[in-house]
Amino acid sequence: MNMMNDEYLIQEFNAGNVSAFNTLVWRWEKPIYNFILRYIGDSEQAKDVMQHCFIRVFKSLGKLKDHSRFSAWIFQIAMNLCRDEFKKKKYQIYSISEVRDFDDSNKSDQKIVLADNEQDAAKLTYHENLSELLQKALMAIPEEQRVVIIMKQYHGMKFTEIAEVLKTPINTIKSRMYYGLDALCVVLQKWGVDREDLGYEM
Amino acid sequence: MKCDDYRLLMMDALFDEISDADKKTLDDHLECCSACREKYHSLQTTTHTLGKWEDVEPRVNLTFVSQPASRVSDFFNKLKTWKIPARLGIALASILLLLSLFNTKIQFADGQFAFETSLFRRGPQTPPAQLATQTDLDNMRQENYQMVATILDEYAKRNKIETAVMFNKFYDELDKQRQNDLRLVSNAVEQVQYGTTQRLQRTDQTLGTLIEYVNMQNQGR
Repeated sequence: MNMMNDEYLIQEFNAGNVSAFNTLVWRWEKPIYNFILRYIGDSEQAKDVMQHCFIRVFKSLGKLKDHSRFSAWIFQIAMNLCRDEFKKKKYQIYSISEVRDFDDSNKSDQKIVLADNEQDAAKLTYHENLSELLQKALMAIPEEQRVVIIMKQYHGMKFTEIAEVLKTPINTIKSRMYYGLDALCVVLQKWGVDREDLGYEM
Repeated sequence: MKCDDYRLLMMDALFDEISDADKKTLDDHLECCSACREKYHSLQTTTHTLGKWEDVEPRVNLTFVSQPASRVSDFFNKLKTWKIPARLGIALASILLLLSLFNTKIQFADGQFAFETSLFRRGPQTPPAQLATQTDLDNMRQENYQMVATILDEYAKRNKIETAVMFNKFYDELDKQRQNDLRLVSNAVEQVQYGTTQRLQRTDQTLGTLIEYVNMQNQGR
């Protein structure tokens, strides 16, 4: 069973065994789907993007030289497809300049910029389940911070791995994580969801 | 170190990626800085909340199957596996074939096609000059005479025909005109005859009446 790891499956697939690829899909479809879903926030679109992602993996898996990098590579593909989707739909609420990192020069200005959708708070009811609530909160923070939080929180990637996937310095990744979490905390509080409510709902 | 500088360490500590030395540095700071302690606590709560959001099943049946490649893609795939000399050979053969195709001349004469192929374009071909002999000249002159005579004959024939047609038309016109005149004359004669007959009848009637009147006068006397 130990032989059935990703590297072995990739080797099998490159040797012409398509069922090895299906095993790879079976193993990765859930994490990739959830990554895309949390990233773009729409389940139907997430399914489409996931299919595109696996088709792209199918086409270019032969070009992947370092098989141990497969997980970073597949996340990179999924992230690029999500970003393409954002460009198509113009979802983005924040510009890149609004993302503050530790390595930014203006450290003094650390206030968190929130999207102007506080009016949504009135519509939010406590009956909405936690996943919908957190999805909305995630969509309210800048994309650069969101992707780091998803990779770290839900896929257990090390900061070094995230830095590799995003091709960004590790300290920038950590600062995005910090500001992302801070922004989420503020968003949830702004929407009137305090810790006790969340605890009760859960 | 300022408070801002502890944020990276907070992230490391939050996800257990911190070294023992850094952990001690952070703990020391959190003990003496209430703002950072509170911030760290709120970040811990947020990650805890995020951790409650569970993954969902994609419910998409993605299955990949191997399909036989088409002949064209099969050919190109085979090409990829060939070595460089083989590829060069194929490329050269393709160039020669293309050149020959571009310089192929296709002619159609006497119900038959004629193909002429060459690798490079040829200059316009001129037929070799031939020396004309006396007999050829005589023959040509004879042919010329015959042709001129034929043309003259044809011209005369055409003239005759045109004249005949013209005369015929003239006669036809004349005939029509004469018949028209005759019809007019006969009509006029008929009208005169009719008028004369009527006048005679009226005269007869008048004379008859007059005679009767005279007779009555004579009888009355």
